Amino acid sequence: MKPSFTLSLSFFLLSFAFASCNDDDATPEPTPFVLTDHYVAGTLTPKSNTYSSVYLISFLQNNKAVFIGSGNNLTGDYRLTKDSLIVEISDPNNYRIARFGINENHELTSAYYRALTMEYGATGTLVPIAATNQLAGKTFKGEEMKMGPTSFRKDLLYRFNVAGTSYGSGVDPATINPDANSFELINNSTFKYKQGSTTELGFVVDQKLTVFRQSGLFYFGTYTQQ
Amino acid sequence: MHMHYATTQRAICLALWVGWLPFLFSACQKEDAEYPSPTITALKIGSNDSKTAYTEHDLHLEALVEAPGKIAAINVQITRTVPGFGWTFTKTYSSGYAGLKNAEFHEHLDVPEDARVGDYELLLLVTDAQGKSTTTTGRFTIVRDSTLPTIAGLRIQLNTPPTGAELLMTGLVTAPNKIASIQVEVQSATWKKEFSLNDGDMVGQASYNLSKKFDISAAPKGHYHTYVNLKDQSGKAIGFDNHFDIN
Repeated sequence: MKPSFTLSLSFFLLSFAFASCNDDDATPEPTPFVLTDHYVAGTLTPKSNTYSSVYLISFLQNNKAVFIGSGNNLTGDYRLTKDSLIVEISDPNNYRIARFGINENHELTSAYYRALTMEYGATGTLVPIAATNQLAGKTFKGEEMKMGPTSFRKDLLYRFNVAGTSYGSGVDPATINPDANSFELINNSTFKYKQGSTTELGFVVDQKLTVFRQSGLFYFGTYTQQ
Repeated sequence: MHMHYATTQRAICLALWVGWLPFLFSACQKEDAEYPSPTITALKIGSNDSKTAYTEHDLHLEALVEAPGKIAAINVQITRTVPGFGWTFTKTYSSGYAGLKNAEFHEHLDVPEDARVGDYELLLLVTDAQGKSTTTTGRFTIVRDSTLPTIAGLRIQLNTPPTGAELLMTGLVTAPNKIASIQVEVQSATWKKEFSLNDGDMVGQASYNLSKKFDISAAPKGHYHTYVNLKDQSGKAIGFDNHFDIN
């Protein structure tokens, strides 16, 4: 074989090695943090410690935020800095402020909440909005508390239907109908159910369902996925 | 023999290089393609861009979207213009839009019965397949009016009998201030026709069972938009938008 042919063939083969896209070999860049792809889920406990209610904060475009509790939704604004996340509803008749510490991993490190002049003990987790329904087909079990706080139902079950659009609850597994209560699905991992004077709001994080129910009295609890 | 071997070698080299060159220069072309950001024009909120929505009625939204990088999703966000309690709405639309470079965004949202009346801001966000996005905003007012005329169960159905296409419009008209008239516009990009209903048996009634046929046999194939405008005798009016295709 002539050297010129060998050389030419070698160049040709080498060109394969260099012609591939640089991108193929590059380490994928980490996905940038986008707050609107997350929401805050947490609990609020009055100083009397008699109950814990559930709240959510959704983050929208143009720095708008929506505070979702068992009552009306409240729209406000948010500010995100390197180490804090502040949500404020500046309506003087419905003033709310929620202030969170946030670390470099985008985890909430502290939570503060005030409604008008009343401060609450607050918890909060920044939850990525899942692409799929996180309640669908799942069952959770735990102790339900009522205002006091005192134990109300020791082994309460929440069972969600396969589509993740409704649920049933009770202590007798045989009588729970997961299609009983149709709810509003929020951020793919939270449900809000309203019927007459009953409102039930719950979110699932780390296979735990945290629920608050307003039905005359207040009922609340944290339930473990079965 | 030697001569023939050398010629073959040259031919192989040439064929390899010539054949490989286009791959060499085009390997990364597709991934490097850059498209301009999407654009949103002609945002219309409410029937006939009235910038008004009524509780328990649907809100008509329309906009022209261009995305050379192909639409990935269109987000709608509705919030009150001032902080406090009120209706909030967010929804991501991709079905029917994703993958298109040009689209007429057209959706109807249900305004709930308990939506707080007042001024609202609508934000439309279009994201393309490259992650580029554009937003536009508009304002509208939510009104609650129990005396507003309405057509319950309004249905506009395309029939294509041998004599040509016709539209059958049915529904129950109620108007506490008595019915004055109903105008129906049927239009596509190339064809338009208007119909007026002011029959003696309908005008002046507080309730009327609507069942009317409209001859549109001259309408060519295409996508059609219908707009029904119901007016009462106090001057209040409400519009209903619909669509159909003639294939």
